[in-house]
Amino acid sequence: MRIGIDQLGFEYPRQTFRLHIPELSVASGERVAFVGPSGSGKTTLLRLLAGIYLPSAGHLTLGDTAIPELDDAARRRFRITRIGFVFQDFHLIDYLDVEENIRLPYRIHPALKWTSDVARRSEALAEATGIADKRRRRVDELSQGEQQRVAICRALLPEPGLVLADEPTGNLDPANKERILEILFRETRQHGATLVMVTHDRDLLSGFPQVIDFQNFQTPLPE
Amino acid sequence: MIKLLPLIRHYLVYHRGKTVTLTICLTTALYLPLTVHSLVEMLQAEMVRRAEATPIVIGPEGSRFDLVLHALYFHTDAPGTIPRKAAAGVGDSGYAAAVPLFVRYRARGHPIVGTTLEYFPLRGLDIGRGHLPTLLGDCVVGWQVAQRLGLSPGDRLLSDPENVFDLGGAYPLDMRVTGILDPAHSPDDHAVFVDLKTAWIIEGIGHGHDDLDETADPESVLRTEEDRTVASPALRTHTRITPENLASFHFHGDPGEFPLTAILAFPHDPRSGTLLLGRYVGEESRLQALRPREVTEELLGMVVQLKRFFDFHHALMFAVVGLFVALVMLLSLRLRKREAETLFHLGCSRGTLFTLQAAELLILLTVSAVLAGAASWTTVQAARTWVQTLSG
Repeated sequence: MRIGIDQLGFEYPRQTFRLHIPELSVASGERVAFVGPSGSGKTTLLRLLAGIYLPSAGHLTLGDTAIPELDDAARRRFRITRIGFVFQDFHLIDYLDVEENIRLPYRIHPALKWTSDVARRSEALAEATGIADKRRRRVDELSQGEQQRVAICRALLPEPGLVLADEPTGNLDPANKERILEILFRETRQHGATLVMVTHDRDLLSGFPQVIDFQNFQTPLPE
Repeated sequence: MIKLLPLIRHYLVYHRGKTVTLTICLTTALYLPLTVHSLVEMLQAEMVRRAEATPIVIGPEGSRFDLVLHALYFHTDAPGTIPRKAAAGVGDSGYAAAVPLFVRYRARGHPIVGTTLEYFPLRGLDIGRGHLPTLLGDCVVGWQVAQRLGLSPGDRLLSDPENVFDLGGAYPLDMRVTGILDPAHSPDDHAVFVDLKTAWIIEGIGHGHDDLDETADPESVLRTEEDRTVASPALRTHTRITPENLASFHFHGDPGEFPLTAILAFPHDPRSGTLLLGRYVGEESRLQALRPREVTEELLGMVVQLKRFFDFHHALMFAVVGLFVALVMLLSLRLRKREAETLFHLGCSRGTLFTLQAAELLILLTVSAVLAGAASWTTVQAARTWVQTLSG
């Protein structure tokens, strides 16, 4: 899924600065990494791309769709069917087991249909991320790394055209970092999905043809 | 909705403490009014049914309620007695068929109803096993009495002593069970029926003892006078009536003055009923004649007043439980803010979020309603016998 941004602005509530991205273009199936200090707007841009936040100015298109112009229901539908989001703090449901957390998008939206193919794919993802033997365990019984992998499986299961990953390797040991990156790369490549990943880990940037530094995207608001 | 059910199930099981507490609260709040309402409805229906089956009750002056409860439900604390000739007077008037009742004693806790054979067809009672009483000392028992005491035709049943410390009181009579009545689902199921004469023997008006002229026991005779023999207290009085001693049973006094505790009158037509009631109006009459339906409605009026109080009480309790549940759900919404945020971030619609919360409450309400319904049904079934007999 192609990403197009032109003069995108976003104002934080009760803050004296705004996020301003003059231009950004990511081709479909491309991999792009967002780097920069904490608070520089990386996660905010991910949320703008997902339609969770709405920009105060500029244009944002995903494929042929101008996300801010969709109504609320259409944005939610677009998000759950076309975008896979791996949240920094996982956003798992603690009273559900691993399998139900992975399946969650299929439970909460009628646009996603649970079929035997999807079930097989869910099993394969769990196997690939090393959590297949924990599918009946509740997520609050898992380690941070295991929870991260559950979140990745949930994001990848609907085969989205755009995968947004907010520091998906932040809680993992080096061996698991490589394993997760490999899964993310393989899955997105296999389905022609665009991967946008926020990271602080500069060692991971070699796998990304395009790296966006957020150092200068914040501008002060006039008094 | 169906897709959401596993999520709801997981949530309710995971927070089982909260689930159980809310279910208990809602079940109790539903159970109490439901049960009281059902019991009062059943009580009203049963009382009206019994009252309608008894057009007129005649008895001594006094409390109308006591007389009706005594005549219809065999409460053994009879308000007083009336002479037997009063029943004959009803029959002779040509207005109604009269069924005399004498109910003062109990057998193993069940009222002994002294009456005539007319009672059974007028109440629609059929003999299930055995036959109706034919001799003094015979009895037929209601279905529940036979069940509870394990009685069959041919068994013996002893009347309860009135007072074990009163030597001059009524002595227990050993009765022969000749029949078991079919279930009638009425107070008759819990009663022991005997002929009036048998009831009077228990009362002590009639008795049987050894023939003083033929007794072999010299201690039985106090003295012999010119034309009579005076018995001593050692004379053996029979407490069991057998074919051998049946002839020795006799009554003292004027049969017309023998006591009854009530008369059931079944008028031949409505006009006869009105005319019969008119005979007992006036200060000179020492009897009262009542329509049980009217007295029962008056009694039920008091029950309805009491029910209104309970209804108000239950409404108050329901409101409190409702507020409690609302508070818990509100707090739950706050605690689940992050969960709602997750679902929103994933793309869940507002409608689905609302459905999820509402369905949880609906499931709790449904489960509570089913539990309350089942518990209420069980209670009502358990209380049915008590309500049908009002025997306490």
